[in-house]
Amino acid sequence: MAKVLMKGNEAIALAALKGGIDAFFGYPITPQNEIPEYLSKHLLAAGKVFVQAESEVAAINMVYGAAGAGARVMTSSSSPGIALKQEGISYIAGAELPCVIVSVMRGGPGLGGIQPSQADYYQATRGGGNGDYQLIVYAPETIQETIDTLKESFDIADYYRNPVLILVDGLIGQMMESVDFDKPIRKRFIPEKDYATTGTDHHPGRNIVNSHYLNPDELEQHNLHLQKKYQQIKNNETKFEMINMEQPDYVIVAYGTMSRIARSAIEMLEEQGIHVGMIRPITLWPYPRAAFDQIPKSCKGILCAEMSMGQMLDDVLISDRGRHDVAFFGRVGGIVPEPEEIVDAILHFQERVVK
Amino acid sequence: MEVKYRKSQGLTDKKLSYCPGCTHGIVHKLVAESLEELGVLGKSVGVASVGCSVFSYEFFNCDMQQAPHGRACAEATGIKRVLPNNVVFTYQGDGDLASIGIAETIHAANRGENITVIFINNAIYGMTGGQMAPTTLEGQRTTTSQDGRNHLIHGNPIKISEIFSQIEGAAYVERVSVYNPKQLMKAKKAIKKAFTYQVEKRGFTLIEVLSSCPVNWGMTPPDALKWIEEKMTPVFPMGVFKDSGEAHE
Amino acid sequence: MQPIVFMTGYYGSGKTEIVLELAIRDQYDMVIDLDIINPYFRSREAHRALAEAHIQLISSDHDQPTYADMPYVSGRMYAPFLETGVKAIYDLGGNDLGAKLLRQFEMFDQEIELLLVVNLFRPETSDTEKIIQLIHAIEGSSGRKVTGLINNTNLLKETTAEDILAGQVVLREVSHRMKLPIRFTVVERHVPVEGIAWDGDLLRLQLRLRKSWY
Repeated sequence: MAKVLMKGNEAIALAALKGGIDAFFGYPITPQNEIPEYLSKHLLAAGKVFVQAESEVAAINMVYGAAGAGARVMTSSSSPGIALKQEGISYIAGAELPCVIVSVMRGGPGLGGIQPSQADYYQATRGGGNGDYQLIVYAPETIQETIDTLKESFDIADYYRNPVLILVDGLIGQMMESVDFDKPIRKRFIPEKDYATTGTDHHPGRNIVNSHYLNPDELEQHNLHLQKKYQQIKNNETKFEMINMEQPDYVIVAYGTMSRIARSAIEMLEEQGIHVGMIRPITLWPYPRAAFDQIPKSCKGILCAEMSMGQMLDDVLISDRGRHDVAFFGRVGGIVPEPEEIVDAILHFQERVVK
Repeated sequence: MEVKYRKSQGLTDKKLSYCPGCTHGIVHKLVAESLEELGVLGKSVGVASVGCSVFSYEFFNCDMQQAPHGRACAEATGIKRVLPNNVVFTYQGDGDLASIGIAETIHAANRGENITVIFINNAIYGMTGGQMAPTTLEGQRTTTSQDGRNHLIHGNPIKISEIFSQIEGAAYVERVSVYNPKQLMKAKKAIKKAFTYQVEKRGFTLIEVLSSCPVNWGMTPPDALKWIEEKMTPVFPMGVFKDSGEAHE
Repeated sequence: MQPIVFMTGYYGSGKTEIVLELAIRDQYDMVIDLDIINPYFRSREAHRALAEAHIQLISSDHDQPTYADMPYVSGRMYAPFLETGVKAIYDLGGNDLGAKLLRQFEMFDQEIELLLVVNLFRPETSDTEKIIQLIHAIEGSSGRKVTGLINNTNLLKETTAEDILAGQVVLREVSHRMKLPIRFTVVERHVPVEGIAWDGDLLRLQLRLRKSWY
């Protein structure tokens, strides 16, 4: 397959097919409807499973059941729908099952709007479900990167037995880009799914998919085991991009759509003789804290830019550990800023410094 | 020595932890025996729900998953869709199925998911300490209906078998009880029939079992069984509410 | 060309950008946005550009039509059929699904143009058979015959003249088999076109809904 022109959501669906998806469970919500629409047609044609559930709550629990039965499973939704899935996500993480969740963010809180947003950073990285659990969260910035990430994420989920969340905003879901679906992905060792509830005819002993540990000692042990896994993920999977980082006057931290806008802003600032670098987190969890150690002392400050009121900002402050002034620029409600606004934020950096 | 009776292979050796006189144990046995007799234990996957029966994953001697409160039928849908040749069942109480999980259960039935639902109706929330259930009887005192259930305040007891009999995708719906040996034999027959229908891929099957909760009802076990017969069966009449199989026979 | 034009095509084929360009270039009186499929990138987002060109935009009667995903269509959508001499372009949503809106115009017997926008780089319209299948689907759902083709073969910034010509070869086959004229060839302004024989009218396109930074 050579280059084709694809809409983001459509590309996500096709990438899931390329990634070996067995089953999809979802519920309609704008702006991600093209994902289930595309998969409803192509999964059934391939003899695989597609179910339009009665709610997001049911959909994520279907994911739980099918993942526990050993299938490669995905669901997708948008902000309020992802909120409804949090219960199931916590159970899936607790029971250590692999699955892929795609979140196409829109403006909130509440019913909010349907225009693009990045206001679900907390939801993705801090979780709305109960307990000490983590999702592996990817925030690609182009449709190509979304495709490559999604194809690989089924393997990553299987390897760690952990849900992977692909976090994009509505713009990436709805925009068109030319893409190549056949870029090779990293080959990973995929362990046997010896936990799957396929019936005792198929494996020794009984398999139980469970997140229930009433004995505090056992539950603590289970949590320690999860933490060990999360540490391993931090060590192996943290991903980020550094741009223009030779002696920058300022450094912008941005992900997804915002990092693309920032790229244009950086070029415009360069023309004015202001040299600005960028740290682009690709995994939002684990967060690339170590990248901040490479910001030189001489740098005048860090601008965190988001399509939210400042959620990733917490991670920027934690990662910088007080070494630089940190300023914030954000637009919300579905407004996608222009590069000029980021240029202006750098020019008036001091006014934006977070106290 | 001649073996007169042995425990079903469908149950593990784990000691049942239910209260004396609670009928969960009996229903577990009926489910286990049915799976064993049909020769499907090795391909069965059960879904334990939230309630007193949460530990059923320790008792049924087959693969099990434990579902969030009310979501057993969604989880069973996920399992059955990717393992269509396995036998998949849920074991749910009245709070789990008839309250928080009624949407998941109705829609699983409506899609005709080829799964079997064992629904334990004991008219109370057992696990959380005796609160009002959607199936609590008019006048019945619970910790959240201390003057007795009043339909003007709390609504009426919900009749699950009657509701599910109206759903196209349901292949078999029967309400049974276990308050005496005769009823128990009928219950066994119903449960086994439901699993048989599933093996024959006929669609969604639901068996509602009127059960007792002596501790939360504040009665001795014999009185509790009598209460099922005298108080529950007039509100929840027993019988077959839907049998799509009749046409085939 | 009839004065009333409906723009159809596979979703993401470029209908909306073409509607805007054509309306502004050829001084249409009205653009009617009937896209009930997409939440973003609809012609209503270009309300300023249309206003500057003195083109009336009809989308939804809700007072915030631009950002809503409610599929309200406006009763004013009938205006071009009720008045004489109005030049109007209707922007339909994608696929046969979007084209079913044409059923709302069954009571009018005026001739219309139903133009199919095709981009060969959209995988679902990448060859003759698929395009013909789409034509049949659209004609089935809309109850109207497609009257012409538009070659919009492109890979956005990466488009070359050779790509567009490759699209032209396939569209000529569709044109021949379906007895449909190629009405327009659409070429973004950054692509050089000198000395190339394009089929139909050459429409030089300036993208209006796409931001500069992507």
